[in-house]
Amino acid sequence: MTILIFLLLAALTVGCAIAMVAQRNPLYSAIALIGVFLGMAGIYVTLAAPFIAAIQVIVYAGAIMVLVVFVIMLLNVEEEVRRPIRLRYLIPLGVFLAALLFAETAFIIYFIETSAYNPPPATQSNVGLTASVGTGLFTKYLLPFEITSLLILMAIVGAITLARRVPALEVGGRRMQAATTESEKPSAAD
Amino acid sequence: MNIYFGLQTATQQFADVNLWLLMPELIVASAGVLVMLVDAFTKRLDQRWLTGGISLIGLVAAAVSCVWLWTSWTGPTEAFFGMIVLDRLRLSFTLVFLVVSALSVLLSMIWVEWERLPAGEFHALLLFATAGMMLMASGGDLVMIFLGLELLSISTYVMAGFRRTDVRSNEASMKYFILGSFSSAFLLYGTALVYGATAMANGTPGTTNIREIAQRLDTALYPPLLFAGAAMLLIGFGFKVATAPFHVWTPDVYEGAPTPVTAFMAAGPKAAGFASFMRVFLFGFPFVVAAGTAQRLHSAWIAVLVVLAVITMTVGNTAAILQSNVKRMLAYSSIAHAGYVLVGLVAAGAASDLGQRNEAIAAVVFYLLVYSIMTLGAFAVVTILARSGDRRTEIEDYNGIGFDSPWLAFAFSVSLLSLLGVPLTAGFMGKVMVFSAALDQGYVGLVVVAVLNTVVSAYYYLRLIVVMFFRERSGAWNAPLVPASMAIALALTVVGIFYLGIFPGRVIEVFQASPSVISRLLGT
Amino acid sequence: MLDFINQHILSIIIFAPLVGAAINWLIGRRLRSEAFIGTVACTAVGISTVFAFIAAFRPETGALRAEAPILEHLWTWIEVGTFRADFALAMDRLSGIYALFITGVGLLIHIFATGYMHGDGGFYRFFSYMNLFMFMMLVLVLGDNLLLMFVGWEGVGLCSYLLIGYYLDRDEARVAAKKAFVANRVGDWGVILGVMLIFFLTGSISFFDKPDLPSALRIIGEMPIEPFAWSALFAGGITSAAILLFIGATGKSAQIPLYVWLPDAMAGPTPVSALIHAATMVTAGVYMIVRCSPIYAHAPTAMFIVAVIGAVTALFAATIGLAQNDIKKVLAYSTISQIGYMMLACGVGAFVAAIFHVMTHAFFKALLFLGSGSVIHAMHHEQDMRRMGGLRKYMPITFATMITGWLAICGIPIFAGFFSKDEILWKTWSTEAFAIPHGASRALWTIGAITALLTAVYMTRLMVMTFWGEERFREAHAHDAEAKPHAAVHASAGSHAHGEHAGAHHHHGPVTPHESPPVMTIPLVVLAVLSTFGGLVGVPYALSGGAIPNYFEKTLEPIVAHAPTHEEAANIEKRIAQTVARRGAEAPAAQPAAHETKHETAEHAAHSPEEVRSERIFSAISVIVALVGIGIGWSVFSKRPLLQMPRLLENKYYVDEIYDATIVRPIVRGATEGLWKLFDLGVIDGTLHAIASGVSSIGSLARRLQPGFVRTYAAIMLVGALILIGYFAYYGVLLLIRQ
Repeated sequence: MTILIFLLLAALTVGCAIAMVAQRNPLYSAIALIGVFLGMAGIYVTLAAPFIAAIQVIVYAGAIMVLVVFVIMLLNVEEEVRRPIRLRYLIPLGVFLAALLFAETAFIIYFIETSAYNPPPATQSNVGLTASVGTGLFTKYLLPFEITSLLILMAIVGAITLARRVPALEVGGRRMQAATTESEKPSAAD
Repeated sequence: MNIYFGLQTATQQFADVNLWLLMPELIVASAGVLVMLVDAFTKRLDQRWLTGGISLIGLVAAAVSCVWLWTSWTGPTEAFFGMIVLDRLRLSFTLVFLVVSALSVLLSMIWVEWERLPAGEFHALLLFATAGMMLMASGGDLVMIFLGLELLSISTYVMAGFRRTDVRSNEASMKYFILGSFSSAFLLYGTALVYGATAMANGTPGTTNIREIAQRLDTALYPPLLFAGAAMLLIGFGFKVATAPFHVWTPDVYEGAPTPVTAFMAAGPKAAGFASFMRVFLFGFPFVVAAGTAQRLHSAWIAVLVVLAVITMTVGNTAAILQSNVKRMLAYSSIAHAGYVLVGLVAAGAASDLGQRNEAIAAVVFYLLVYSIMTLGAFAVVTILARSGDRRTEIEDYNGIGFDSPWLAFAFSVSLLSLLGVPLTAGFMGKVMVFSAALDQGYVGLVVVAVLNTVVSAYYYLRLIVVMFFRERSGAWNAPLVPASMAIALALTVVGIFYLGIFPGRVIEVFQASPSVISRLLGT
Repeated sequence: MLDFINQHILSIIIFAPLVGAAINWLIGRRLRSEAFIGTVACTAVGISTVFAFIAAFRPETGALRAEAPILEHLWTWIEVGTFRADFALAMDRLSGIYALFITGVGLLIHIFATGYMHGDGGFYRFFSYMNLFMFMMLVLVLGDNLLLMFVGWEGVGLCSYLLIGYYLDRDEARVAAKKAFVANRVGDWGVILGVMLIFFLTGSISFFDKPDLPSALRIIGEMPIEPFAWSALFAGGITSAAILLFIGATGKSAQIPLYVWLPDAMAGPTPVSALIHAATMVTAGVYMIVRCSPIYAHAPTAMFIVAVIGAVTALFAATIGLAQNDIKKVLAYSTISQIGYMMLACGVGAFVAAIFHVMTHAFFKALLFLGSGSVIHAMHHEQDMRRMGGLRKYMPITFATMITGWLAICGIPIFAGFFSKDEILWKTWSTEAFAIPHGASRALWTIGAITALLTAVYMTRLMVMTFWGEERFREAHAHDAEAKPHAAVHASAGSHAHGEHAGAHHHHGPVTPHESPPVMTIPLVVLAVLSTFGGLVGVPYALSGGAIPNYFEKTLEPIVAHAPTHEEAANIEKRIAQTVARRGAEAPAAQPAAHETKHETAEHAAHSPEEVRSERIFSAISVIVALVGIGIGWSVFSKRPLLQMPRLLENKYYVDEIYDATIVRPIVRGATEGLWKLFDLGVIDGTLHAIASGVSSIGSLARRLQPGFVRTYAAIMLVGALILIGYFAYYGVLLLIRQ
């Protein structure tokens, strides 16, 4: 039963992932991505991590993807024009590398499955439960949690800096502008 | 001291909080926030002096607190349940980062105005990046290291694209972002695999704490996963420090990014990458005598690093010869130097003796300090000569400037000679330290390759000196004005290069004086 | 004050020129007063000279008198684990002799240069570089460990590079500077690795025993002698270290195969050629070998190679020197050839003779170079001997002094070169060194003797073409407006912004040579006196019959290692075999005993009557060879000074072309076509080509923004990643299977 559910969810996830890459319309891609997130949330549920699953749905599939879809619609992004593919040799190479990666993974998993080690007994693990996540965040993972806030703050600053419309400096800049143009004589190289 | 203990006991049972141990990082991050606030509430008049000044003060204060931690240091300590460790490795690397950032602030103070860029944001990002680097050195847990790395990376992506009107800058930022995310994914996946692999048979979940990983290697449930995880961690760090074949982003990004940012990227993130690299691999997958998973893992990564070191040095040096753009050439040179550092890293990893390991670690830190100073010196000159918009970075642009800007040319030559490793400069000392550490471990072949590579590197470093002094100038050229902040930065680098080259003793002593955290780890 | 000087005498010697260089660079540059610059530079070197003499000869503790070297510890430079290098100076008998002639000859050349460089726009630059060179050279010889020696070694290379490229406006100077540095870097690689290997073998890099630091040389001296076998070269033992150091020596001392830079280095000003490329820097390789003589004494294979390379270089360079028309090129090849002699001496174990020749060579070759400089000065920077002739009338002092240099290098008795060259040839013939197979010494001697003959021939040719015969300079200048270095200098001088050479020599048309001013002729006279009588400090016993003590040998003999003879080597092998048989209990005791016997046997062998007789016969042969050479040279070239020499020789056996075709070009092609495409994908798209060809960069930028490259980069990274993961996974699985 668990295996059946897993296979279904895995098929959803992988299928959506492929669709996301293959789609030429960005909106379809975004929706396919939501499918990926939902499939993964399902897998988390089967792994007894309901909190993570809920967060996955609320934050990723909900908040973030809605934002993405808004942006796509606001910008009115057209369907990607089919361009002649440059660097054609990358396609077979990519296929080959993917196969290689798959082979390596299979190799590792095969040997783990057939190894002398037995998996640990299926005890009642509390990893991934709301309570354990909450406790972790405020005890052991307090510092990483706080650092994440710093990370987000910095990311906001960076995003605004890159997205802001006007070149900022007006005062003070003029003086330097004059100085630089003065010392910049056109040379033969230019 | 009472307050100190009071704070500690009250919070310890919940989260093992010890803010004193986090002091330098806190100061730098707070300075970053302060810079943003000040920037928001002041008129934009001479703003760069204000934000730059605050940044510098913050960095100096962090250095002071770091020295304070150092002097009151009684041995390796941990806080936040092992998220933060205090040991030699952290302290010495923290000082390197602070030096790099302070010099970068000096370099960028006037530059942001030349380019008409928002100074406040730039300095804030620089400080956040510094905090990230410091966390990468102080994190005792893979989670912390990853967060530090992201903090550093994202701010660097933004800084690389800071000159928004310049298409090259945008391109560099984009390339760096895409490939950087790609490598971060490896790092994260590697962390996950190691976590999974270190689960124990009694049902205890895995761990991301480096000290615990080291203890659990031999009892790991899934050794192949552990190996795959280690490989992915290696790839992630390999990208950050630009070892071949994960160096491919470096030339394009260094060339396209604004020069002061390139200077910072070539020095800071590389050193930070090495800090985490050493922390994870030396302390997480350490040398052990007894045959078993741990021993296997150790021999595997050492063997890989030897090969990577050889490839990295060779690729960096040979490709640098072919460049006609100075920034690109210095980018390849930075790749080559990563290779030299890897030689030291191999020595540190292979050392079975604790004393030798600490010496090798000190050698690597010393090399990175030296490398940062000389690279920043070189890029400082490139910044000044490139003028606004980074327009003059071809080698021909340096034709014959030696006699019109003798001081600039002198500073540049000193940096280049030091990068080449001419005796009496810091670069020579760094190489001697790193190579002698490798010789101590019996890596004669590796050292021979490294020395051969330095011979090759002579060609391209000297070519620039030749161009500056032995060639006539093509086209009109005015000696650039060197602003005071830049002059200070250049003077500091030149003095630093000679000081570390002639009297390196004291600094080396500081870096290696007492046993680092590993002594306790191996002792248990 | 006196105490201070006594304690820091070596520091004063080395730092005085550094201070001089700094003063000239910072102050002299602004003053632009030649008198000031010249005075500062000469005073700085003068101080070094005076203190070098004091340090060498002061009573009781003088380096050349006392047994123990003068040691001066400045600070501990590096201390990493067991690796320790002091920033410390030492003057023992060997470095004392070196320091004396470096400062002495250096001072004379500095004085000469104030006249020679008169009117040059880069006067301050020239003298700063020269002083800096003196500093580095003194560091090289006075450094008390291998690493500090290497500092000087690199430093003199750098200064020589700067000085070869001194004439900024000459392409040939720039190319020559680059060539010199590349050749030297190839050699430096050997030195670095050699030093590392020595540290690896002994745990020390110090030359001298110190309280807490044993001497690397002593430790090697106590090791067993390595066998004479080619495999020893790659064994990573003493022989490997010796051969690595020798690779460095071939670079710095211009031996085969790295000699190609020295002839081109003549593009620098003549005083530079005299100081750096004749008297001092190029003999650094010999210094290093003699300094490390214990290493070579224990590495017979390396010694044999040194001897062969030295002999072959001597002959090879002499034949090329025969056919050159540029007066400085002739002297350059002559220098290479003479250093070949020194190497030969080192190879056969005659370390003292090598140093003796270094010293006399410094005198007479500096003299010859300065003399040629005086001629070039008089001819307004004309260096082609085909356009000279008959100069003896115009420059009598230069002529007279050049005569002594000529006789000295040819090996005419009384003149300095005779004693040293004769001693080398005799030691080559009579060597008993284990390193030289029995027949080889005869062959090496023959090569040496032929070289001596050729030396006499080409030096006579030089003298004849320059000072005798008809005066060819008048028509030459009238007809040939394209006189190459001359015209090049003037053509660019006008347009050059810095005014290098501007106003220096603006003569055109026929010129009348003139004798040089006293600042130039006085050093010539002093050097002539030294070239004449300088050899008397080392008259061999056989020639003087003991009437004149051989000061030189007596001074140096105690500090150089004695190369084991065939007999000793056999004994030692036997003894080692015995001790091994006895489980090695007495092995350490046996070794020093073998050493003690060596000196005695050597003393006895040198002075036995039959030895003295044959040494005298060989001296006579040397003199005859020299006279025959002079005779041939005179008879051939006095009638036909412009005789066409064989093309093969004139073109230097096409070695430059061969190197270019077999080494330089393949590397360049491989790099541009192979590596470029492999490692630098971003460039393929033509950004740089576009910029180089002056195309507006917008188009290329647009092309570069195509997302293709990031994909390519990601693919490369992924390939690397997969290989790594595969390796790790495979390794991990192997582990599982084994369990």
